[in-house]
This record gives sequence, structure tokens and C-alpha cells, in this order.
Amino acid sequence: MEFNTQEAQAAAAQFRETFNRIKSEIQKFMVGQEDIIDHVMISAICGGNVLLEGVPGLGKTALVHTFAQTLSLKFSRIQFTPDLLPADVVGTNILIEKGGEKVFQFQRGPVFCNILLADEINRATPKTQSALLETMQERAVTVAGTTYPLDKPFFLMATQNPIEQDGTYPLPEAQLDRFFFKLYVKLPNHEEFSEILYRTSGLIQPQINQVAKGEDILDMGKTSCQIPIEESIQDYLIKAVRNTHPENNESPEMVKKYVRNGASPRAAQTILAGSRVRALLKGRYHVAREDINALAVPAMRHRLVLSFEGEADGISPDQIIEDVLSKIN
Amino acid sequence: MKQHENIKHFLHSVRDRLNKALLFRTVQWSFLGTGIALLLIASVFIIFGRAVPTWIYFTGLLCTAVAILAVWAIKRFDLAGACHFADNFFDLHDGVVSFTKFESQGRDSGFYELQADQVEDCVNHSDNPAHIPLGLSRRVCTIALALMIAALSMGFIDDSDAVKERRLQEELTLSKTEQVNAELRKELEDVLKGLEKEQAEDPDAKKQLNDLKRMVKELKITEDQKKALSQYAKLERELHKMLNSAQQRKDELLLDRVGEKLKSIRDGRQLGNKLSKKDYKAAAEELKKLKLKFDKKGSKEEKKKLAKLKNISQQMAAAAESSLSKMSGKNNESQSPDNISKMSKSGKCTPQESSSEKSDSQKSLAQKMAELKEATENYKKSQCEMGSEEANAKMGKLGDALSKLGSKRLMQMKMKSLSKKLGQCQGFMTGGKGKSLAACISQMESPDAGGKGIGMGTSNKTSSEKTPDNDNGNITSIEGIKGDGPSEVTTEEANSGTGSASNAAARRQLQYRKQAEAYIQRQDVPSEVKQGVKHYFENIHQTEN
Repeated sequence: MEFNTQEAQAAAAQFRETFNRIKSEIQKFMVGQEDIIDHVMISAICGGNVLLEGVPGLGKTALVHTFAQTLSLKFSRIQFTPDLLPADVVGTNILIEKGGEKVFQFQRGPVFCNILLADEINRATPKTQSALLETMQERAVTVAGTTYPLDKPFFLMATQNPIEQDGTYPLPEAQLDRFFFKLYVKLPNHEEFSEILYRTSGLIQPQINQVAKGEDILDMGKTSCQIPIEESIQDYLIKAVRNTHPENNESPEMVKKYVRNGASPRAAQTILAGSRVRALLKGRYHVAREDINALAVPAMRHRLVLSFEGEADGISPDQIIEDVLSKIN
Repeated sequence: MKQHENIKHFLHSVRDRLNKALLFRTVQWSFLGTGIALLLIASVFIIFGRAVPTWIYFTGLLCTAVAILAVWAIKRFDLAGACHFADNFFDLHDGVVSFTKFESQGRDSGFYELQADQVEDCVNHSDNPAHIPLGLSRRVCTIALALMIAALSMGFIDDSDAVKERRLQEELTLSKTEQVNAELRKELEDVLKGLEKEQAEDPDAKKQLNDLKRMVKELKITEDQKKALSQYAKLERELHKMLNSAQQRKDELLLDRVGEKLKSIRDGRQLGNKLSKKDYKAAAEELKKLKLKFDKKGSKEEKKKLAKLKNISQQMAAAAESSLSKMSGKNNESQSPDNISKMSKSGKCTPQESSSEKSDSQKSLAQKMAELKEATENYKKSQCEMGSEEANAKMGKLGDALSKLGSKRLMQMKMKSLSKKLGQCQGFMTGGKGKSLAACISQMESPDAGGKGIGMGTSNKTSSEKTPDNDNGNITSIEGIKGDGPSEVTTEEANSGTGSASNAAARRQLQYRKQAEAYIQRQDVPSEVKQGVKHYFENIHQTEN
């Protein structure tokens, strides 16, 4: 349903207010990492999944946990290990006695929650990783021919460690494409370090309160969907995605040289949805190029497959995306 | 529905300001470019010693105006361009672009209205469009102005002396070629009018005259002296080809000798005189008078006429034989008129006859004389009507040949006058500064009046008296003995008629002539020297004749 002007104004105000409330609550515990918090929240509002990458101890798990606490949503955490089985994730049928008869009953796995933390997702085998594909895209689980829908809202936050690559299984492209954003969690600076120590080493720990509900997140998603985008700006977005493909004539030389596969249309959907949220957060009622530029990197960096030359030359997808954006007319 | 007039007004202001800035920048850079271009062009003109033509400046300014208008027309900002610029310049985050599009699509409720209100608010608080910089650079403007002034000031520099002189020379050459061409056409017309009908209808002469007419018609009026002289030299070569027919010269030489021989006998004195004077037409008429009439009774008068004819024909044949043998060598007896007539009777032909057309035509006159002699002798022996007719026929043929030669000679005389006129015109082209063509021609025609002109500077007049010098002590007079000193010119004399000519000598003469012509045609040789060489060879021909 499209809002009228007053409704739109109220919804936008409500959106910003809710967002800021949640963010403030998270920032009670999380020090710094403002961009990461924003991107995680944008992803959640848009119903997307986030892949967080960073060395251990940077607060990835704490962020997800804190976010779940602020929303009072059901939170599950799966620590991925090589011996983890798909049934351990999605659940399985178990034989039980019911009314004197032995029947199979579906035992729900940890994915049946609102916020799922898949910690160190790359340590599980591809088979187990693949068990999350349906969950991530269709928000449902199918076991023994029966499909079980997940509760709304649902979003998955996976983490992976860029070091300690022994005994890990890199995520397949199909699964990577289902992540809304891939975020690099960076090391905090000196002041942030100091603040982290202050907040976490004392007797009094910060108290995280529930400041919003799951429905609020869904409403925020509905509001953001109505933010208009002008045609030329949409063209800009399409060009940004298309130009990551080496077979496109307009693509920069860097793409042609270092990219094997470009970003999918899902990337364009991701950027548009994220840009709408970002526009609202910035106080605007239209999507601007700067929104696209800001979200293009986290939305496309895991969707680009580098060529052998790209890997050999140590080119990062971020460099390529920035080059593409800088060369759009 | 709100109109958001402020945004529209703002956009129009931005567009006008942008177009103003574009115009200023275009004018600035166009003038800089024009200034550089004009300065370079003007420098080139000045380096080559020429004044910069005014039209260059006008063209430069016109091009600048056209360039400014073209840039203005192509790059002029419209509202869409102004929207993009405003978004970037005033940091409106694509607000104006989005508003314009949404408004054009008629979307004005919900978030669209909020968006419009927000953009209007931003526009109201944004900077004044008049603050958009015009992009004028003081340095560029100063340089452009300085270049334009420098280029314009170079326009006041006049042609250098050398250029002025060259231009004057070109104008003079143009005028001279015009005069000379007109003069030559007129002269050719006079020559053609003066030709007799039979001369004009002779196929060889007709072809030559047509070639000549075409060449004279094709003469161009040019300001390039080299080109002008080259075209006259070409015409001159053609004229010389026509004039210097070796066959005709040899025929005339033969007839000269025949004339001399005939002068020695009483019966042929009149004919001989006419041949010596080269009045071949009159000689042909004289020959006609000797036409025989067959009379069975054998009148005294007719016998006398026959004897006279026999005598003349014998002398002619003898002179021809002698002349021909001198020309082709005494040892070649087969070419004697008697032998020729014998061979012509038997239908045999000598190898020389078949190999050389010139030699064949050369013999024809001598052959005709020999045949006349033979026919006359036959008639005297036979005294029959057929003999009389044959002798008359042979005489008629000889008369026709003489008449034709006379016509050719007349045409040559005309051509010679044309050649002379051409020479005078060439003299006028190369020299004659400040003089009219008529003055030059009259000066060359009467060489004693004020000098002989270029290439004509030889005189037989010598001063036997020594000009007395006032001895001031610095004069050293050295006097040589006349005829004792070295000379570059050696004169060898031989007794007339004692030398022998051969084909080799004729070939060598042809070779010398070609060398001389090649020398005359050379561009690097001064025309005065060419004229001298030309007249030297003309004098040789005159002596030969």
C-alpha cells in the first residue's frame, strides 16, 4: 500500500527514530564499527543476510548477539565445524511414540529462529553449508518432503575468519550470492580500543534493552520500499553492475583483465534496496548516486569472481568496484 | 498540488548562468586560438617578405565568430544539464534531477511530495546561482589580447623590396605575354593571308600551318617568365623545324648550280638567271615557253626551239649530275642521272633508293632533268609526235617541281618573318624594360638606332683611330700587333667548289644543330646568350643559301 504524504512523513520519521534507537542500544556495547552496525541494520531491514569477515576477537559475534537482544528476537548460534551435518542445522525427523504408535516427528534445528549466527561458516563441509541455501533465500526448510517456513523476520549472519584457512571450505559462489552484504570488520583504533577496555573490564557491564520488535523491522522494510529512484540514477546503478562483467564492451580495462564473473542482478536488487534505506537514514526521500556508491562495494565484493591474473596480482574486488564506479559516465 | 516555482526559477537561473559562463569561456579560448593562429600566419607572411593580407584577419575573426556560435549551439546547457550541474555544484544529492523527473511523470504524492518539499527547501537555502564561476581566466584573456594586438600590428608591415620587385616583374611579364601573344597571332594571320592558295592547300604545308596555328592559339598569358619563355622556345623549335628542311636546301643548292651552268650558255642564260635569283616560279614559266609543237614539215623555228631545249636540258642534266655527285660522293657512280634514268627504265632500284627516302626525293629533281634530256634527245632522233609529247611531259613535270619549290620558298620566307618576330618578342620578354613591344621590335629591326639589342651585338665597324687619352701618370697603354695575338676564332677558308661534301658531313651538321637547339632551350643560359647563338646559326644558314 502506497503512503499518502502524511503517512509517508510519519513512516519516515518512525523509520529514523526506530533505527537510531536500535543503533544507540547496540552502541552501548559495541565500540566504533559504525559502518558495520549501519550495514548490518540495513541488511536486516531489507531482509538480507550478512557475511562478516574479520580476525577473531573484533566483536562479530557480539554485534549479532547485541542486535538480537535489542529486538527481543529469537537468536540461535551455530558454531560450524567440519563434522557438522545438515540435520544439525535444519533439524531432522525423529521416531517418537504417540498414542501407542511410533511416528516420525520433525525436530526443528537451530535455523528456526529470527536471527541466526553461523559462526565460522567456512569450517563446515560444503554439504552442510548448502543446507543453508534454502533457508537464506526462501526463508524455509524442507526435510523429508515437507517444507517448514521460518518465522519472520529472519536473517542470517555468518562470520568467517580470513586467517587460519587450513581445514576450511570456501563458500560456493551460489551461496555467496545469497548474502546481502559482505562486511570486513576492521581493527578498532586507539581510542576505540581504550573504550572497549573501559566498557568490558569493569564490574558493571552495559545493559542491553529491547528497544524494538521484529514487526518494527518488517515495517521499516516496507517503508523503505517506497522511496523513489529517478530513472537516470537507476541507469547508473544498472551500469555499475553491468560494468563488472568482462564481456561488457563498456567495462573498464581492469574488469576485462582481472574479473572472470561479474555481479548478478541480485547485486543490483541488493544495492537498490540498501540505497533506499540509506537515503531515508540520510534524511532524503529519493535515492542518490552517493547511496549507490556507498553500498556498491559491500554489496558486490563477494559477488565478483576474480580471474587468475587478478588473483596473481593481488587485486581486491574493492579496487575493481571503485574503478568501475569512477568510470561510469 | 504545489508548483515548486522556486525550484524552477532556481533551475532557470542556473541554466542562464551556465550558458553565460560557457559563452565567456568560449570567447576567451576562441580569441586565444585565433590570436595564436593569426600570429603564426602573419609571421609566415612576414618571414617571406610579404605583407599580411587584410582578408586573413577578416577570415580569422569570421572563423572565431563561427566557432563561438558552433560551440554555443552544440554545448549550450538545457534544463536537464542545469539540473545535473546544480545537483553537483550545490551538493543537492541528485535532488533536482529526481524532482524534475518525478514532476514530469506527474508523481506528486507521498514520498514524491516530501521529496519535492525537501528539494525546494534545499534550493532555498543553497547559494545564489550568480555565484557559479564564469570560468574567465585573467591570464588567458591577457595573453589572447596581447596575441591579437601583435597579430594585428603585423598587418601594418608592408611588402619587402624583393617581393615588390618580384610582383612588379610578374605584372610586367603578364602584360608582356599578353602583348607578345597578340602580336604573334596577328603576325600569323598576316602570314596566312599572304600565302597563295596552292601553298595553303599543299597537304604538308597545311599540316604544318595547322600545328603552328594550334601552338600560337595555345600560347598562355602567364606571370611566370620561365613558363612564358619556355612556351615561346617551343614555338620557335617548331618554326625551325619548318624552316630547316634539308631536302629543300639541297634542291635549292642543286638549282643554284644548274643556274650557274645555264648562265654560261646563251640559250639558257635567262633561265639560269632566274634560277640563280631563286625565282623558281619565273623559271618554271620560262621553261614552259620552251614547249615543243610537233610539225611534220619540221619548221625552222621548231628546230631552233628543239636545239635550244636540247642544249638547256643537256646543261641542266650535266650540272645536276655534277652537283649530285659532289653531294653523294664521286665514287658512287650508280647515282649519276644517266644511271638513274637507266634504272628507272629497267625498273631496278638501288639499295640507297629504297633505304633513304630523303635521298630518293633529292634525286627526283636531278632525275627529272636527266629524263628531260633523254626525252629531248629521243625526240630529236625520232622526230615523231610521241617524242614531242614525252619531252613536253617531262618538261611540264620539271616545271611543276620548280613551281612547287618556289611556293615552298615563299612560305619559308613568311615563316622566317614570323620566326624573326618571335625572336624579337623573346628579346622583348627578356629585356626591353620600360619599353613597349613596338619600340623593341623597331629597335631590333633597325639595329643602328641606339644599339643592336641583346644577342645582336656584333658589328663590323672598327675604329682605326686611337682615342687620345690625357696621360695623368696612371695610364699604362699596351698595344699589340694586329693579327699577331691568340684568337679563339679560327677562320679557315677553302676555294669554292673544291671541297667535297658527304652524308657524314650532313649528319654532323644535323648534330651541331641539335646541340645548338638544346643549348638554346636550356633554362640556365641567359636569354641574351641564347639569342646570340641563335643568330649565329641563322647567319650560317644565310651564308649557305
